[in-house]
Amino acid sequence: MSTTRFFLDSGGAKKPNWRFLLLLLFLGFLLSAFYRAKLLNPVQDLILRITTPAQYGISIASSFLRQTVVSIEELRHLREENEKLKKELERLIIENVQLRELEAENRNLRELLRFTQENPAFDYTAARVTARVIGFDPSGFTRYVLINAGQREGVLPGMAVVTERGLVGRVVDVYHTASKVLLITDPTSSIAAYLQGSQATGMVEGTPEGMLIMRYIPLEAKVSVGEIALTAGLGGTLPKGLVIGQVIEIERKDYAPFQEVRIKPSVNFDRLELVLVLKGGKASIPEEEGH
Amino acid sequence: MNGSRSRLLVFQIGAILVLITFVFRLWHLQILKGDYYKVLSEKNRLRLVQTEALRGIIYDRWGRPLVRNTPSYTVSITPAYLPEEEGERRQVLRRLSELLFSSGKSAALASPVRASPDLEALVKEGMKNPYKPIVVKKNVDRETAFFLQQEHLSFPGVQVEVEPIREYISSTLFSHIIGYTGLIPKEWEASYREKGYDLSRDKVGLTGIEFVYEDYLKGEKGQKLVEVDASGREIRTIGYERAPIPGYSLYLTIDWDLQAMVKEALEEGMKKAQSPVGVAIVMDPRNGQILAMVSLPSYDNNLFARGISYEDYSKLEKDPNHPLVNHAIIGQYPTGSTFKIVPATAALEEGVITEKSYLNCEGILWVPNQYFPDDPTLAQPFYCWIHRYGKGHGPINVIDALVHSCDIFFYKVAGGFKDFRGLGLDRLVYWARLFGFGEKTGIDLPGESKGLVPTADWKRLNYGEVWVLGDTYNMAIGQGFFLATPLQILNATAAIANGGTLYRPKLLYKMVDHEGNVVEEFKPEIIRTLPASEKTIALVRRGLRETVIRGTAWRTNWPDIPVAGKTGTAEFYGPRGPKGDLPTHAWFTGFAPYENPKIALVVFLQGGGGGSENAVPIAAKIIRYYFDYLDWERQP
Repeated sequence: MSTTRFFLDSGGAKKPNWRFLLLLLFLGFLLSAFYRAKLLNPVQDLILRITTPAQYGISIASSFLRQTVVSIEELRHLREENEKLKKELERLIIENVQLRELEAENRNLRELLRFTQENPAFDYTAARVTARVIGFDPSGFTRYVLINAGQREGVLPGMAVVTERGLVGRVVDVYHTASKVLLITDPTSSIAAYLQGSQATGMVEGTPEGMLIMRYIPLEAKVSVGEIALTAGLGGTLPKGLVIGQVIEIERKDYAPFQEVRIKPSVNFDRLELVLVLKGGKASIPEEEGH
Repeated sequence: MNGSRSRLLVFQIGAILVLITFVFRLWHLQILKGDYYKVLSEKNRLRLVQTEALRGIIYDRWGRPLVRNTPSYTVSITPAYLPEEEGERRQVLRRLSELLFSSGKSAALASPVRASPDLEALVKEGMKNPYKPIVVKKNVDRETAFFLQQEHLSFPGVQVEVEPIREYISSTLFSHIIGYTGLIPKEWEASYREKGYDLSRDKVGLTGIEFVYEDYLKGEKGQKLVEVDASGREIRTIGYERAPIPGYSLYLTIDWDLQAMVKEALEEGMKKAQSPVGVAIVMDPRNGQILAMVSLPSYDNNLFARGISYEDYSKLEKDPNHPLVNHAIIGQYPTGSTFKIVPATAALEEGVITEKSYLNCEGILWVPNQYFPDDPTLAQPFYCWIHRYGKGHGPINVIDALVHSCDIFFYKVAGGFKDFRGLGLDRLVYWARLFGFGEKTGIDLPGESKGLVPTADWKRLNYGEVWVLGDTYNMAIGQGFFLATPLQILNATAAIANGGTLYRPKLLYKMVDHEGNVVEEFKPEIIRTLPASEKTIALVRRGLRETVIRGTAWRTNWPDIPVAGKTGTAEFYGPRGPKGDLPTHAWFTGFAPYENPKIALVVFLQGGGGGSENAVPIAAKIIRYYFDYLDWERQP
């Protein structure tokens, strides 16, 4: 590259060519001085006359160039704006989600409230699910959730935990401000239950897949799909009449000791947020139709 | 300085040596013997455990279940899992004790191990083997079991186990047919161990259908892989190597409604006749299917299924009427005149008589003494039953002899008289055996009796006496040494009803696997075809028909259902009546409709008096019921 001459010898000496640079500077200075003093006008004329057509072409080209440059600048602008708008949108979405969540929570709370109003005999503590524990212990999968209510709120082991839709589980361990709740879908959970229509009794147990099975239903019981399973109470810490779920499938064999039915839990365990801990009161929930 | 240095050196060398030993040992364990220990530890951790198969159940012919595998709840304690802390442990035991043994709960079904066991003492004893569950109470009621299961968190160390036990529905109605299950008795242990039974736990059929079809009912045990800890207790199920396969279920040939009705009629008839033991069997004479079989008194086989108490068992054992015995196939009795179909068929077929042969009945027959035939004072009298009324039947042919159940006609036919040559003992025995007497019918029930067809040899062996003409006479009318079970009489009657085929009586209608696929279906099994012509059989059948129309079985004479049959009044050695006569069993055997019989039946009342008065009314009720309500071939 010959242009490196300005700065470097072709040999690659790192010394700048000071002389040449100074000369350039001087010439430039001279030219601008002449120009200012209008000394260069004739020359200018001449040059212009010769170059106008070319100039025209150049101007067209240059205007195009300029335009391009401008749009590039605009592009930079737009990008910034876009960035801003995106941020705004994100903020709005987050806000929206928060609002929706609040709304859901509100609805949730309202429903819980309605539930508490419908069952005024109970004493409640509302709590938020703070963690889910899908642990692994020697007996297989376990399904617990942690809630932010504990000894301080008067929670005791064995208490039923519900949402407005039905039974969630039972408190197994209590800490100062938190408790561990064993979900009814856990394989170690068994709840005495009865079916609303046929009045058949049995035990609702969790399965390793996180479903519910009601076992020990006498063979002679006329069970039908769609029946609601409710807690039987039996005088323990669980009140009678809490909704557990709905019968979706019946397995009955003449040679089996009892019928088994699969039950779809009425509580949505994937979206467990606010729950109520039933802290005692009367031992049953009045039956209501059309759950 | 020097000393401490050398001491440090010694210490260092020591430490290095220890380290080297450790490394070497590690290398030895891990690299050299790794595989060996791996296998060992796997074995230690995983164990194959047998899983119980559900026993197949038993239905009546229409698929109504006669037995269920009912869940039975057992509460036990595993000492190792009880709370460590003394006070808490006490509390758990106390609450459990209150729950299981307080007087508030009904203890009717429950059989406590002790009246109210001292749980703490039990636990102390169990601490020697803390992982072995101690049974506290069996047959706990459902609600208590449910409560314990629901509250298991507040009862640490307490488990509820569910095991299926046999529950016999309408138990006393079917107990002689179905039998019961129980633990393997001592004397069978060897053979059952060979078959792979667990002697400590497995229940097997001990009698009845449960026993006969044990191999089909029991199903196939499964195997599951469980993880065990060092102390050998199961921690969790890892998976099923092989799922257990439930046993086959059986459909019996029995019709529940008919069985219930037969029992009712029989009970009523027994009461009227003051008979302590009664039998009634109904069979389809076209194939040998048993439609009803009742033996009274009966017993509750549920007692055995739950584990019978010694008192209950000895009460049943000592009952003089033997409620545990199925008299329909085990009881051996003199049959009286119901046996007369045999000499009638034999004499006609062997040409001893024809339809038109008339033999005289004077009400009494003097058999001359063998050694002094000319001395009438030494002659032995043989009576016809009509002799009581001071007369005889006069000249009588085979049809009328059946109709009026004339004894003297059959004495003469069987043993001959003066210059009339009868069948003789050998031919009588031969025909009795053809009809199935003296051998088991082979019905699918255990313990069947053979009955007794006496021969000259038999008498010599058992009594040291010579067979005499009088013995043949007695046998001809189903008396003397001759004995048969009610089922044998019925099967002989059915052979006459269907035109001469002896079918094997059967209770199994079909067998299905646990998915309902038919594994085996009833097929008629012919024991033998009687070597008797159609004409002979037709004649005997007509005799039985006339018996109903104008003879001893007139109580079953209806215009709409043509019945045929034969009554019997059999003397046996028991307490004599006021006139010094022997007590009698009441019998009736018959079939209907006359032309194309669909049912054959037998009714027997031990000490029930006369067949005509006491057995026929019971049969009449059964036949009426069958044709009025059941006859499924006529129903749309």
